[in-house]
Amino acid sequence: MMMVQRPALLWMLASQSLMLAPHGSRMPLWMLIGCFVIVAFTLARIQGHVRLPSKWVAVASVFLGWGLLWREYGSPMVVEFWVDLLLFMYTAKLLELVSKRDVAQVMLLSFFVAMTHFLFDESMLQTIVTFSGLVMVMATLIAVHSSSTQTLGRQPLKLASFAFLQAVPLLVILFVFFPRLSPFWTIPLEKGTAVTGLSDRLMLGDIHSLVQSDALAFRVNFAAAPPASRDLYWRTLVLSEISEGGWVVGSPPRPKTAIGTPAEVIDYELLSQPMRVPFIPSLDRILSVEGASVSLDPLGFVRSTSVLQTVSQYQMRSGLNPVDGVDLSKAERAAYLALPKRTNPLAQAHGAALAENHQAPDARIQAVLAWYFDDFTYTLNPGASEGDSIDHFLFETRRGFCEHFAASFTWIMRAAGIPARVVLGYQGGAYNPSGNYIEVRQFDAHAWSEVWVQGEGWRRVDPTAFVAPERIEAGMGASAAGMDGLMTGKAWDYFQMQSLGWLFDLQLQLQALSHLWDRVVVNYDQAQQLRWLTTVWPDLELEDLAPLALAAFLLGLGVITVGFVASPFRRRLSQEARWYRGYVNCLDGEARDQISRGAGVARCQEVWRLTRPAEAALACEFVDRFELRLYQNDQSVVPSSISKTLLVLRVRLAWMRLTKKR
Amino acid sequence: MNESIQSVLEGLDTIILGKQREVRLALASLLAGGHLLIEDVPGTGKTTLALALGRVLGLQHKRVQFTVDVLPSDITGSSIYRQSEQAFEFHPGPIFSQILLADEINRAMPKTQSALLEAMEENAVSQDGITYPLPSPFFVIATQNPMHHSGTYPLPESQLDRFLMTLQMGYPSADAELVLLTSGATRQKVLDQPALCTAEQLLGWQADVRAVKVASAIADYVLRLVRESRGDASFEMGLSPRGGLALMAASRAWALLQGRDFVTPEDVQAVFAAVCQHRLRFRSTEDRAGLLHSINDFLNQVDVVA
Repeated sequence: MMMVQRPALLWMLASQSLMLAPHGSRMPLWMLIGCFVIVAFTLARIQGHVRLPSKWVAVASVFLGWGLLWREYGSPMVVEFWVDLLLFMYTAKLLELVSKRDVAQVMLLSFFVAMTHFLFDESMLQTIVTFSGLVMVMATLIAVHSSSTQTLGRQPLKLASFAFLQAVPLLVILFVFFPRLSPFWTIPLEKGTAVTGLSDRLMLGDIHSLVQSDALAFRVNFAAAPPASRDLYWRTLVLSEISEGGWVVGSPPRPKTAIGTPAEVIDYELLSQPMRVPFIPSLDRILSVEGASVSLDPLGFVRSTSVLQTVSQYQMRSGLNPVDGVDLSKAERAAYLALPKRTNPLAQAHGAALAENHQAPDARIQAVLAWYFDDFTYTLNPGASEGDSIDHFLFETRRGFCEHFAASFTWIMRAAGIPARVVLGYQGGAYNPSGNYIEVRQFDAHAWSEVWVQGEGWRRVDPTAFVAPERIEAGMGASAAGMDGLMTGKAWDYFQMQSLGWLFDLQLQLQALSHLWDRVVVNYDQAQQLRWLTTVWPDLELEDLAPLALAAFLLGLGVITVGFVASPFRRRLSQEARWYRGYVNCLDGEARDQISRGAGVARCQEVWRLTRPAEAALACEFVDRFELRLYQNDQSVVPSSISKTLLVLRVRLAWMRLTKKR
Repeated sequence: MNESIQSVLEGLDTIILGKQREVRLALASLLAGGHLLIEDVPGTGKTTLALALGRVLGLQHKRVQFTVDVLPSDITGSSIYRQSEQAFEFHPGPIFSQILLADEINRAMPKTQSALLEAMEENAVSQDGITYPLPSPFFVIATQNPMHHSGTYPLPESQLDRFLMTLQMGYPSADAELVLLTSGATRQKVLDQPALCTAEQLLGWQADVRAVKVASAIADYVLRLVRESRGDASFEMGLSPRGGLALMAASRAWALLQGRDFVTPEDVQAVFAAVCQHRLRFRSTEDRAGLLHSINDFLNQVDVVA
């Protein structure tokens, strides 16, 4: 039999389910089913169809759950393991739930569960879901502690919402001013494999599978007007070496510092979604970058020194169309010309022939591009590659995707004696007029080449632009629509959306809102905080921030404490009430659970005598004096003597409990 | 405690088995000088309790069985023209007794009900411009069937207010019922019961009740109960000032029955449901058990000491 009123229990199940729901799609299937069974079972128990399972069932299911979790993750060194453990215990508690205290415990645990939501999703939608869950949790706590059956309808929810709204100003103040501390420790999330995105090597077919995804890659706000879509080449990483038939980053020699001033400088802010690889896209020649744990690679792309698990923000400055006047060193030249022997012999021969026929490097480049333009087809459905994949593509199928063109072009260039490398990244992006930003999704992934031209430096050559100019001019959506290749999956759905008019507009608005959320809320880190606060106090230093905030926090705490103790608005307790409270606080938990505000001293004494007769006996003198003074108006019992007996009672009780424990 | 009160209680307990609480509440109601309404399904010992009280207290008692056709004059009495004296002579009705047992009061017509209740209020009967005072002490012990039984005229709230307490007898415990079944002939036991005190003694006890001390802490508590009842979500209508006075009087009587000359919060709580259940209007339309439950909830919410 449960000792809690049924409406309160229903509130509890509802809020618990709401707190579990965001994890539903992530947690292992068996656990999802297990949680569902336990919740359904408890619901049946509340309705009186089944009874509390025996202790052994609860213990057995907990051990079973632990075992399965261990099997699932293999090691406790991932956050998911601990989160799922928490969620499992949070649910399994229902198997032994009897008293009000159990319900309160589960609900307090909900606050921890709420925190785990943000480990996996920091979006605005998630925040709304989590906060509504917390309001439900508070409503449950109110319902549990309300003794009246009459007030269990919508009343707790109303009260909880009201309390929540009252807390919102405090939430805003704490959000803005509380010091952002970096975590003391981290456990890696296992989700790296689940994130779609570029990998750090290029095998033919990689990008092709990537463009099926409509997952968001990053969003960019430009300080000035954004460049045209065809000029947006988001360099993410540079592949310089060939290994096992694919292009990899490798370890090319360190280039001499680039001199050469870029013709045009552009400032932008990039908000990156979680990435598989620790590289952050940037435009053309990256000049500077500000953000958490980033560094500039000498090859001209941005590396992150930590795993990109969350949305991260970067302030960037790039030079467009830079000109490098520096020579390649010998080592560099050798590295960028290196080709593995005996693979793709036809392509190597083609390159060699090209070098003989055309003297000028430009002519060699143009010749290959012209060949591509005449004889090749851009397709999303290039078919499987066989044997020497580049030879197969160049001389048999001649149907390919950007990766085929970039890889084969770079190969031929090297064979023809021109230093060349493959660049992986994204091309283009969709402009969102509601939020005035450019949004790049995974289907914008692209590969192109860079060749070294003496006197000019690394020149970007995108062979795809010659084969399928619409891909570059109008973006992936337009090219996909007119292409024979089959685009399937979510990316296709996404492009279909565009024809839906107002629905698409609505989606744009929502995306803009979500972008704003990412920029303003999720990315409100130490740097942002400082930037914001310095607009108010220009002299503020980062070092001042923590002590200042700490001082403000302590001050606030002090004010609240003083307010509680000395507020003129607070109802002062009478001397009698203080005695009464003091006495009630002497009772141990078991007895105190059974008495309410309406229980007089005599009733408390009765309950106490039933649970702890020895302890209750100690209180007799206090009870006598208290009743004499309060109810018999015996003025000979002076207040100080009552206070004294209460004190003696407390000391003797403490001593009794202490010695008993031993 | 006063030994004769003790013996009265013991006498009552031998007749009404396993109902110590109800018996004490009923006696408290009489000691506080208030009328008593006993409410329950037929056969739970309502009438037996009323009769037993009359016998044990040694009061002169009469019983009226109310039905639809009972007229006001059947209660109060009527004037009859006496030819020999050429004058009207007043024949007092059954109400002229120290304890009137009004059985199934809610089966009578409203007109008859109000005649009785008027007499209860005035402690007198007026007939043809002459006021005949009722004897002292004067108690009405009324019984009524639950409201929803057929053929009943529910008493209006203003008249319910005349009763100090409402009691539910409830079924006896299994042990008590077994004794009841084996011993049998309760009615005879009642008739054989000797009086254990006198009317004068009873009046003396009533004076004792009035002398029971009420400390300011208790007055505060009663005040809190009354005021909070007016704002509580469960009640559509809270307690009236008269309700507060009734609560105080009943608490005093209860304290005396506990052998004390001062009131404690437990006394107030013990009589609260009996005194207040017919004075509060509930928001929900639950059965009686549900209403008692919400009264209990209410008591649990109000601070005993503040």
